[in-house]
Amino acid sequence: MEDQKHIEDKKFIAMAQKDHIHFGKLYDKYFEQVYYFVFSRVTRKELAGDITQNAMLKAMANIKKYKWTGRPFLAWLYRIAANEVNMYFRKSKKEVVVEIQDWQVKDLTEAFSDTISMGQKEQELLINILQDLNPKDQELVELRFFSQLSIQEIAEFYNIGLSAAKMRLYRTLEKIKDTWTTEYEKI
Amino acid sequence: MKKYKVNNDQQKPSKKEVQQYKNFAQLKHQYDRFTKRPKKPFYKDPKLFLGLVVIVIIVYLIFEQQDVTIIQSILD
Repeated sequence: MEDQKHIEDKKFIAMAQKDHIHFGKLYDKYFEQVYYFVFSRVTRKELAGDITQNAMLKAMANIKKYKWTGRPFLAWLYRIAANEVNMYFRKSKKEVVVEIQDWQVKDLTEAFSDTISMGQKEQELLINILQDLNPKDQELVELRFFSQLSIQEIAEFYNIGLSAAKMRLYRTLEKIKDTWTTEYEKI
Repeated sequence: MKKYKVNNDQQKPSKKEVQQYKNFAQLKHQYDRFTKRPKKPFYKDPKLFLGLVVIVIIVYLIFEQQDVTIIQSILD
């Protein structure tokens, strides 16, 4: 099944590389997934639509440079979309608010500790820790806990191995845990 | 700058809503505009415009010089 999907993508990519008009097949197939991915990062419907469209335009313009490596085409689209999202955050002069939900905070908390009971103070502390993370760690947390990407998908996104992706996530969670331990004593 | 905020009322857009943002015709139009930008008219390109002015002046001076030579030879 997975192989069949890859074969179809490979065919569509080859067609789009010959004539950009065939990019429409890839656009139709992946627009929705890319949109939801962008929405999970910016949490604004219209903005997510604009960023997705820009990402698709970049993908269409660069499709000739794309080399098939056997990794899912969607990972390449996610990478372009993530760059667009990061560019949006960098260029924004106003403060951009990313809305998250209780269950996402809970998922993140459970990933580094199973003894924390989440109250208002704990939630605020975790959000502060998240805000103080460097952009790379923030991106990783967002991919795993807000965009709900699997470790396999994260590995494909960064074009790294599965164990390297696990290690990267582990280190980021350790950073959060360390800061949590230090800061929690103060509240 | 990015800030996180907990909001449990936020809802994931429905598939129907997502379809509103999907528009390949618009994307194709943007792509065409992006890749096939019309060339600047020559008079809007300062270097090209200046070059043409210089050529016109040189041609004018050559013909002017020829006229002077012809008149001079008639008078002589």
